[in-house]
Amino acid sequence: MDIDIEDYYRKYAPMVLRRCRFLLREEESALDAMQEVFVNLIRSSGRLSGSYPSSLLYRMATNVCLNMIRSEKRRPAGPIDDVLFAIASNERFEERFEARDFLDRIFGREAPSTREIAVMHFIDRLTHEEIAEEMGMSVSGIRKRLSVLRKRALEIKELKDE
Amino acid sequence: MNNRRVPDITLERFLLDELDEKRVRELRDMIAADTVLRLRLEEMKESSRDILSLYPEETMSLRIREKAFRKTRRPLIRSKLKNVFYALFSKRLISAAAFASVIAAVTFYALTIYRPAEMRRQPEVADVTRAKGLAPGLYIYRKKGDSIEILENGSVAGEGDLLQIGYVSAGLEHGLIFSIDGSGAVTLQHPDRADRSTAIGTGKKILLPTSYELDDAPGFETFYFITSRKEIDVDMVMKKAQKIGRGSASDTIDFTRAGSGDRQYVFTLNKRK
Repeated sequence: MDIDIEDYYRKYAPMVLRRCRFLLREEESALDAMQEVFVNLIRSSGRLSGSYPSSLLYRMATNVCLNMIRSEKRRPAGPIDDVLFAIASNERFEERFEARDFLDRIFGREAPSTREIAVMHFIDRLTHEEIAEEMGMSVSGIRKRLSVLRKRALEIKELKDE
Repeated sequence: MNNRRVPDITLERFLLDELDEKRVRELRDMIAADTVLRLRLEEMKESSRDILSLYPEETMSLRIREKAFRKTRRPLIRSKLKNVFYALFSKRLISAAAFASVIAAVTFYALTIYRPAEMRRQPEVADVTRAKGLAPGLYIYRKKGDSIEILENGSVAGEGDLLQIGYVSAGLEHGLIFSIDGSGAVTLQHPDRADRSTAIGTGKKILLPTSYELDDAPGFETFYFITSRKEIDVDMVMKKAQKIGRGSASDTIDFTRAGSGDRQYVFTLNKRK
């Protein structure tokens, strides 16, 4: 599916930039991240069919920001950002579910990211139902992922319990 | 949603008119009664205007396209082409026919041999599906390295195995899929919630929308697929399944009576020790 990047930019850039600003807390990085999201959109425009673009773009923005936090080893100040940094830096999340993502790609679906789920749960405080809706997953699937996260990622659990 | 702060993504989607009608109605009621929510929306609208004024579409879209172009170039092909052209023109050795054949060779290479890594990794699932036909029942696939294998009833599986559940219904339009593991835990696979319809697709193999990871429960994981001509009482079946709970390794338990089902298919995976 070809996309008109100008149309998409006009409609969704404000939402994407707000998301990046919220996660990165720094304008220049947020602007870079926003551009990266639209670059990714151009490169994977086939993924857009059949869903609201806002959900996909919001998730793409979350992922791009997490990657930036991890690659730059940047730890922004503040209690929320500690949690965010832990999620972004914990490669075990992705290692654990990389294979699952691969399965999902095979069957023509979105690749759900456990880090995205963790951000929605721990940072955005979305309910399981809301996360399920955003991710296009079942509520039981979200519960399962979060229970595995709690079980295996002690640092996240500790931060959450604070 | 009433006693919680409305998430930003929900407000964003509201502004973009990308929420379903029910959520829109709920939000409109909340906005009418909540000044803070109205302010948040106004701030978002103002922020959108600021962003598009500060970073206008004309300049930003060019920048984005340029970045996208830089990323999608294929260095391998480009460098080979560069070498070929260098040889052709600097040494003046090649005729027009030879030039055409080189171009054809490079094109052939680009179209058939060089493929992005993602494409090379895609395994073929369709052959497995075709080979197994369309007998009614459960189909469970497991990721194995870079390929997918279809499991047989009684196969051995272990913690962390990634499974994809599929089913074929023999024309019955309702179905319930759940599993009971060796620790007694019951997991509802379809529908994704007990209060949702048990309607299923018929006439072809259908994969559930999410894959499933086996946990460390010992002994076994038994999957049940109950089909019916009418809506199945999920609560009734789940209650019975939960009662059976721990130690219920048997695959002969009949759940059809609990929820008005007509047929039952059972698929057991034995857990690796």
